[in-house]
Amino acid sequence: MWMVKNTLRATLTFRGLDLSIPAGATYDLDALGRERAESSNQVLVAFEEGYLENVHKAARVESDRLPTQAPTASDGLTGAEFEARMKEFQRQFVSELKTHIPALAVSSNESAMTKDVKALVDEFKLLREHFELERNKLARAGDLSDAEVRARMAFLEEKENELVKNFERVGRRVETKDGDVMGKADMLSNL
Amino acid sequence: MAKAVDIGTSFIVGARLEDGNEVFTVERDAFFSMPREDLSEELITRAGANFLIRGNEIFVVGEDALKYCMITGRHEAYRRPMKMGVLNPGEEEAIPLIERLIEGIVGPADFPGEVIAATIPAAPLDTELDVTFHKIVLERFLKKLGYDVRILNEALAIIYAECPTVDDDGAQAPFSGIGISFGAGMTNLVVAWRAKKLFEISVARGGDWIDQRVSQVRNIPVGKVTHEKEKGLDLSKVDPKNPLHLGLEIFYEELIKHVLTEFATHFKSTQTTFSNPLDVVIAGGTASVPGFIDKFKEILEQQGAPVPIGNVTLGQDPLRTVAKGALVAAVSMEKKKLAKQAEAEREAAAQAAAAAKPAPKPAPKPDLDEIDIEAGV
Ligand SMILES: Nc1ncnc2c1ncn2[C@@H]1O[C@H](COP(=O)(O)OP(=O)(O)OP(=O)(O)O)[C@@H](O)[C@H]1O
Ligand SMILES: [Mg+2]
Repeated sequence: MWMVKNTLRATLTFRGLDLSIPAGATYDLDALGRERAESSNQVLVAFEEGYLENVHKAARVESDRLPTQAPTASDGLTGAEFEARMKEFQRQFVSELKTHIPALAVSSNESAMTKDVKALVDEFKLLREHFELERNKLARAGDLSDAEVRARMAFLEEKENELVKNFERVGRRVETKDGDVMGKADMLSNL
Repeated sequence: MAKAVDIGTSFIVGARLEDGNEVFTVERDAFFSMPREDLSEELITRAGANFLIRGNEIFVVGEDALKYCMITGRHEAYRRPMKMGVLNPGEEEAIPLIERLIEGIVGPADFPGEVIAATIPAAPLDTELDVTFHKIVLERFLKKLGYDVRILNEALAIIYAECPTVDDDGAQAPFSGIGISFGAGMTNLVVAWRAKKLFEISVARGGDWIDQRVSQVRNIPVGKVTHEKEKGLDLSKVDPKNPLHLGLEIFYEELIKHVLTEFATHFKSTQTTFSNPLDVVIAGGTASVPGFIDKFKEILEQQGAPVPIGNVTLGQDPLRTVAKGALVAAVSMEKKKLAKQAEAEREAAAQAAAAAKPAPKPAPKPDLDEIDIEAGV
């Protein structure tokens, strides 16, 4: 299963794949065949632009895209060891990210919306570069098993989407309950 | 139900009531332009972006503009329709684009003649800026959307939102005090007495001015200065070893001094005196930096003011205070308008009854547009 979500307020149409996903709807891209979906440029662009978002991407049974490596020590990991190593990777990556781009890493930050455009653009580029760097590192990592590489790649993708989305929520609607507009308006009318 | 819109140099904030809750819609006052062939309309439509086509150019407006700026990496294509509090004179495309933004935020009137309060700055003392042109353009456009438009000074809106009171011979006079909005393009000040504006001034300096000045003297890109100002600055504990923060503090002080000097100079000519102290209520993004109020009090202490001053406070939600106050005004104006209309109907009915004894004709419904209601509250 590879569930994705259309984050737009419009239907997303992939001409070449003969696929339409209504606004806000989810879709299992595995229905197209994982290979076909993963190698589609349109899908790639949709992810890059944030039109599509990963809901859940199950690991593929057989891996033919990542270079097969010589068996390494990590191949014989127990489930618990795998988990622990993954956790450590996640922790380290997120803390690294936060030192690089503190503003973007903090979610739902009210004043993030008042930031200057240029600073945002620069930060955003930095952010993407950082993810790219980490991906390259992973692809070249000799001491990781395929399963570990895949799990880490999936984590990066999820994190990246989260941050991009956080950024995209910037212009928005705010609702408040407390501020007594009616009461003050009455007072004003009665003056 | 009435609405409000605060059209600022960096943000446009819409306000309305929905089921008794205040709902604000915040949009970046900006647009992004690109040649039509660069990015297909279909792509933009699919992305759900707010856009406009004029000739061979596509303009993406508001927050989406920022998004496209980032996707394409073209900073120069990112533009702002307003500068120093009014429509940007160097930006030909400003009018249709700001109209698109405003329409996106407030939408058309829910019924013909719905009241909308829109805020504008006072004519600045230190620059030749055309506030009248700005006002007429916005007024005309909101009318086109079906609204009964009431224009309001943005600092007066702060008075409506925060409701400072003054002791008036033992009674409390509401909506009386000094309101100051420290925005991106401008700083506006009013002195109000019982919701009436007694005095107003504005200077064409605000957050943008601080950023530009610091950028010049420290030779740091403006974007970086803005970012540091909004993220790292605390005026109550400026690190003396941090040149950027020191620069920001200096120009923050300059801005406050300038505003208080202009206040003192021009208030004299009104020959108004107050015996009881007036509270100062402050709002706007520039005032939301930590330590701003203490800095303001410190300079006020040194320079003094032309009226006795009581408390100095920051609005509850500095970036939205102006929009909220405008909403208070709009709701109140609409209430008055409806009451007046009901009274006119009653009178007409009574007259008709007196004139035609046997079969009173139904009273003609007064045309909404013909009821004249004062623009002030
Ligand atoms: N936390 C913060 N600290 C310092 N400055 C801030 C902060 N948040 C926003 N600002 C500044 O506030 C300004 C935006 O404020 P605001 O939204 O009140 O202005 P505006 O209404 O768009 O402009 P104007 O009223 O002058 O036309 C910008 O200069 C921005 O850099
Ligand atoms: Mg403003």
